[in-house]
Amino acid sequence: MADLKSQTPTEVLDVLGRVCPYPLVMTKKALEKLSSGSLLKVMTDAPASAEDSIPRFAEKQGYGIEIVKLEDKGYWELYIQKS
Amino acid sequence: MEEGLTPNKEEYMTTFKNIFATRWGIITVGALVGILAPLLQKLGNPGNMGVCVACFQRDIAGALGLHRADVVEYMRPEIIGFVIGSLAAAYLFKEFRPRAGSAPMVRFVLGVFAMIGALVFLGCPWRAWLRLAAGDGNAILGLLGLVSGIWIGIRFLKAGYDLGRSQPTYAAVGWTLPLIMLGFLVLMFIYPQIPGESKSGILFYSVKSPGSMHAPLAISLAAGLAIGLAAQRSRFCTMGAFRDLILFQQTHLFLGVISLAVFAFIANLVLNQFNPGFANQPVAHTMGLWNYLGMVLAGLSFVLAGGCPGRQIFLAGEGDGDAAVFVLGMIFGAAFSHNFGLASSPAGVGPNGIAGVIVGLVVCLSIGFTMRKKAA
Repeated sequence: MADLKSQTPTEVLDVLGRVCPYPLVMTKKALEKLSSGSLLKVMTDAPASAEDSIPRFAEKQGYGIEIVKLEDKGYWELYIQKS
Repeated sequence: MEEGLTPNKEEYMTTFKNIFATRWGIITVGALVGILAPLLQKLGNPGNMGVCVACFQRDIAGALGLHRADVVEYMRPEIIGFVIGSLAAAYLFKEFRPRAGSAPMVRFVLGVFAMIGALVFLGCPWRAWLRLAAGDGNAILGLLGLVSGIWIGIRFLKAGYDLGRSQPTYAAVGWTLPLIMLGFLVLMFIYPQIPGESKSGILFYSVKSPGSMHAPLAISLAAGLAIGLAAQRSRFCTMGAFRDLILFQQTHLFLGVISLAVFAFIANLVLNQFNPGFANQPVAHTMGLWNYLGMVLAGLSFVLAGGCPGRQIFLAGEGDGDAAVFVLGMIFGAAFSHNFGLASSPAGVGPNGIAGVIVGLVVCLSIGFTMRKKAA
């Protein structure tokens, strides 16, 4: 799979400070608006969303996903490629 | 083990975390609750109430004298264990994230009405499943009400309902509810239950059921800690189970809840605690409409607040000050329920229970309609 995090995202979604289910609700809505092949970068500090619900959703949809945990900043960056 | 194959601490943590986040992980956590609850009942907790987050918070409100319903007063160690267990798991896995500021006042109100709805039905979603698993047919309408309330809440989520962002804050904010719970535990040691006495120091203790029925303190606390640890890791949520199923077609949390019900059913059969029927079920009434509508109110409140009562406790344990406010709202909601005649009893709904549900639905629907962000 291509290195998603090194690519320029089509759109950046900031859901910092939001807990489940908002990060996934907003990610799903953002992905629905994007065309196939687009790259969505999601910034979230909700562990359940970053490590569980959003990856599970992306994998079920067949989208590529890369998760980068930024320990020093206390949040995750998720790179999701719509396919 | 060969040198080089020994995982370091970080890898151990990751592996352990992944276990709980997997399908079998959530099933295991559901099984843990499903087995522990009937066991706690066998060891002394009330009928079909081995674990009930709402009922136990109601009992804590009684122990503190916030209400004076003398049949439901006991400082339930399970709730204390839930919070401390979640806190421990959050620290162990570096997920303690003190945060607050996402409409706390609204969350308090949602907690109040979640409890009012739950006490009209007589149980939180955990107990609804445990009641069903013990043969209480009245739980069916309660669970249908829960799903209906969640479905209504999802309409609001889809329409842009949003309580706004929380902000990172001082660690002390995240520690507040755990410290309150530790304080409650200390009070239990300073003022232990005196057989036959309704008060010990500043704490109230029921001398008749169901508040008088409880497993030994150490066992209740240990069970609470175990569930708190496991549930924090797995994100176990009885409301999220249906929300994610309906909203995202995700079955992950749902599997955990089904596991709870199946294992509780088996445990009840083994322990001879399965008694099918509708009438004369323990701490339950047969007024179907209000079993249903009470849980509609509770389910709607849970969705608008972002989690079932258990999940709110586990979130509070990992530093979420807004979830802690919801927990306090539930405790105060229990006090309102009993002080104002809103709570049901085995005889049926309280004298003002119907009014409480109607007011609660109006308030929650108003919150859902007025706190929506228009799509960009």
